[in-house]
Amino acid sequence: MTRRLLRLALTAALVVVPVSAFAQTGTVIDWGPDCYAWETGYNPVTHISAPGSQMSIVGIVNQFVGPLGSINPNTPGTEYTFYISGFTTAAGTAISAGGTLSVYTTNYSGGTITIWQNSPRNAAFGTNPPNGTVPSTFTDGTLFLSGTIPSLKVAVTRFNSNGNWLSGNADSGDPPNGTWTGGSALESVSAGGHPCPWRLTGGWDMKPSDVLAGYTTQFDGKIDLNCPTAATSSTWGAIKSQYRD
Amino acid sequence: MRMRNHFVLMALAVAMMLPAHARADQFLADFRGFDYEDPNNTPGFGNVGDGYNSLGFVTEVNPALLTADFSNNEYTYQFKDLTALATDSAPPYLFVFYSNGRFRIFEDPKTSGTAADYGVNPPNATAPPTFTDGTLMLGGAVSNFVLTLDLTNNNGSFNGDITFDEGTQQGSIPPAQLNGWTFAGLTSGGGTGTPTGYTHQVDGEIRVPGATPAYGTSWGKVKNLYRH
Repeated sequence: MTRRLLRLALTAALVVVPVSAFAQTGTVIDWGPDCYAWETGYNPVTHISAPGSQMSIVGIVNQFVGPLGSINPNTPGTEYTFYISGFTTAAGTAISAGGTLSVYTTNYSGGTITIWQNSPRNAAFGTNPPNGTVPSTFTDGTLFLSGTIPSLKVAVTRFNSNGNWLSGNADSGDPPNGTWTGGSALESVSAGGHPCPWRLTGGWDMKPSDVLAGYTTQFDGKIDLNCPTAATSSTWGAIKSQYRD
Repeated sequence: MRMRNHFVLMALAVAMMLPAHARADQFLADFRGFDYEDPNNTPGFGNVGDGYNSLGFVTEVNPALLTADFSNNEYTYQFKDLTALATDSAPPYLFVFYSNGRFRIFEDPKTSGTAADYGVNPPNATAPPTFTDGTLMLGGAVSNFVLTLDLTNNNGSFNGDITFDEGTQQGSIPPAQLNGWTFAGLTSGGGTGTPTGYTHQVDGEIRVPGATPAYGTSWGKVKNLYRH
């Protein structure tokens, strides 16, 4: 019995244990007012997106945080722009009606994103996209990051009395399901050699006076990284020693 | 008579500045932070009597309206004094209507100031204090604040009006643009990095009415505006 215990203790002391924990979470890419979405099947009178409607988004990054925090996207002469495309709503918009307010919910799937570093700063939204500068001036330069976003839920609160926009948000879902697939910064958003999952969220502004002609939304959003700390090898002995005085 | 002719000529020639049609709203500031309830009298979020608070960083301003040096200063914001007065619902969504409150932006030097620190379980020793130190750059009264909450995932959004009435840079905003408003998306759960004790990650903007530009015209055209 004693020999068995000794053998077990010896094995435990030698075994290599991978240690992993989710740590580096939070915003890595942020943008403000310079981001607009448009849609192929949106009715501005009923505020309904028809089944099959496709949504696209272009924007300009205004801040990098965390593992990308050493990059200043506002450096004169340089811009970081992005293009989100492919989002399609299968069911269209559903309405949850309340007494004075209602929420218009639209679920999209099948999105992709590319983020570009470019000099000089030439991104121009224009009107009625796609147009001569959209998406072309948002997809020129060097590919910084690319990825896929399986889903996006947009919830917009409107007044029952007149249909006016009150507030809104967009979210790709929890747990984060975005996947990075390429780009020069891929390593910076990876851990242990694997790209970290991420989440697309933010405020969804459909107030007509805030939205450029031909667009449907001004999207003040960001990308949050849900990154596991890289696994490190250790022994049971080393782990146990962390709990000793 | 000669004087009258002179007046007519002047009237025909003079260039007047008339306001054009109001333009689109203007961006004022971009912010990102976290929210929490204090007081939180009832378990859960958005119950009547609970107080809504949000702290975070201002990440961009409109340089035409505010002066900011992000290289040398830290810019933080605070929503406070908002008390939930009533609720309504449109399942699975909950609407929370709040009392009037206050919004403020602070400027704090990075070298001599104190770096903002969320800490945990606010209010605590560093939050709000490290978000409300430095110079009060701009502040205003918040009204008509309404928060929508999706009870299936605890995400949501808010909207409110802001009348700017304080701060060192209040004067840099034209009087006609002092009645602004705010909106934000609220996110909870994985990836948001929400510190313990905070509820949502908050990402939104402050906006103000668009400037009303003037354009040149003649007295004759002005007078025509008043004829049938």
